[in-house]
Amino acid sequence: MLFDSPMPFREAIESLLARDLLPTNMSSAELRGLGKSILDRSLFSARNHYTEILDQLKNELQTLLNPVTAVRPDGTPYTSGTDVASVRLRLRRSLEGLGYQAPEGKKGTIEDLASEPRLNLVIKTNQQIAQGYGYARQGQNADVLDEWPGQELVRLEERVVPRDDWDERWRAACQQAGDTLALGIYRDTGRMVARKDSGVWQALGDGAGGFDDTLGSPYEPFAFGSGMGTVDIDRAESVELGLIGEDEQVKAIPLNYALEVSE
Amino acid sequence: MALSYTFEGPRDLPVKQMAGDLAALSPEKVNPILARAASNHTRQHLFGLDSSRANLMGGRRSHFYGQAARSTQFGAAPDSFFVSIDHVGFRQRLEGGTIRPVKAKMLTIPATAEAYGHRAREFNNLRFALLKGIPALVQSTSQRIGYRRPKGSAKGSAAGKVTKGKVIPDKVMFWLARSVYQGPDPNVLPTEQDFDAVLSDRLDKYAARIEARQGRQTEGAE
Repeated sequence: MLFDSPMPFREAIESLLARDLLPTNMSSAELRGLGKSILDRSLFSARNHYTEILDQLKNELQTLLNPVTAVRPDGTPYTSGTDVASVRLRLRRSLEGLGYQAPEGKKGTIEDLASEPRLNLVIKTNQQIAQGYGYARQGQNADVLDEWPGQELVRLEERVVPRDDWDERWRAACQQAGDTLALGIYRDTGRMVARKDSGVWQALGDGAGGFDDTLGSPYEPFAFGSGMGTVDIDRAESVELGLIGEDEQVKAIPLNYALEVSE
Repeated sequence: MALSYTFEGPRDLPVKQMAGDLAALSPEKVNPILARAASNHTRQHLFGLDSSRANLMGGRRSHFYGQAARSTQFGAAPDSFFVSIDHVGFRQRLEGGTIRPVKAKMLTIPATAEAYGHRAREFNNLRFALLKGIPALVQSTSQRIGYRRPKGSAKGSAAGKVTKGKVIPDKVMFWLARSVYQGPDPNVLPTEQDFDAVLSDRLDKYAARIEARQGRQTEGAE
C-alpha cells in the first residue's frame, strides 16, 4: 500500500460545478415545487437572493471537496484546503459586508442567513449532496453494479435527535415506486434493501409519504441533516434476499439531471 | 492533510481459492471492483470511528470521521487502483507530526466544548491573556486596573493615572501555541492485513461468480 497525495473526487466536484447559482426569495417549500430538473442544476439556499454569497459558497465548497497537497517554504507538505468553520466565518463576514440584517426576531435562528445553524446546514448539506452523488455515481460503474446490484439504507452517523420515521418513509417509498420486492424484504427481515435501479431511492429523496424535509435526490443524505446513507449489497446476498437473479443485470440510473439527462 | 493509497492490483493479493488462471480475469474489470471493496471497507471503518470516538470535550460534534468517510472515493487503472480520503486533517491524524500555523502566527487549541469546531475569530468577545505564562484567548467581563502615581507627587494626590491591568478570565476558550505535536494514530485506517483479507475475499467471490456464470452460459448453449 503506497501513500500519496489525495486524488480529486471527480464525480462529487462535477456535480457541484454543474449547478448554476439560483438567487431566490423563495422559501424551502416553494423551492421544492420547482422540480428536480431545475433543482439538480441549481445551487440555492431558501430566501438567499445574494448572488455574491452563492458564488462564494460554490467556490468554498469546491475547496472543501478537493483538498490538495501544498509545500511550505521550508519544504514540509501540508494540505491546502479548508474546513466548515473557516467557510462559515468567511461567509458570515461577506454577508456582513453586504449589509445583511437578519429578519426581525429571527437573529441566530435557522432563518438568519448569517447564523451558525443556518450556515452549518447550507455548507454541510451541499457538501454531503456532492459527496453522496459521487458515492452513488461510483457505485454505478458497470462492473461495480454487477458485483453489488443492491444497496441498503442504514444509519451511518449518530444524531442527537434522530428521526424515528425511516421505516415509515421506506414503506411509503416502496409503495410509491411500486417496488414490491423491496417491500417484501422489509416485511420479512426489517431491512431496507432495494436494487440500485429501483425507483425507491428517488421516492425516498422526494419525500414519499408526505415528508417535506427531503433533498430531492436518490442518494444520501436523502433529508436535511440526516445521518442515514447506503451500503452496497453484493450479488450473493442480493440473490439470497430474492432481490435479483444470478445473471440479472441492474441498469445504471440517472442520478442528476444536470449531468446525465439531456433535454 | 488528506491522502490516497494505491494498491498494485490483484497480483499482490493473497488469493485463497482462485478458480482458473488469475491472468484470465481482466484487470479493467477486476480493479474497479477491488477499488470499490477497499473504498467501502474504509468508509465502514471511518463511520465506525465516528460512532466510537465522539469529541472528548463533549459539546456539538463535528463528525470528523463521518466527514472523512463521506470523502472516501476510489479510482482504478489497468495496473492499479487507489482509495482517496479527500478530507483536511486526516493524514495528520494517521501519521502525526508537528502542526504549525500556515497563515496565522499561533495555533488556537480549543479549551472548552463551546470552542470545539470553531475558529477563534467567530467569537467577538475574546481577549488575550497570559495564564501562568501560557497564552490564551479568554472570555472575560472584568480586568484589573492599576493606579500609577507620578513620581514625586504627594500621597493622596489626584494627579495619578489609571492603567489597565491583567485580564481576569471567566472562561478559557482557546490556548495559543506556536506549534503542537500530535502522535501518529495508525488505527484511523484499517490495517494492511485487513485490506488484504477484504480484497482477497472479494476477488475469490468475483472469480467464483464469473466462473459460475460462464458455466451457466455454457450449459445454456449446449
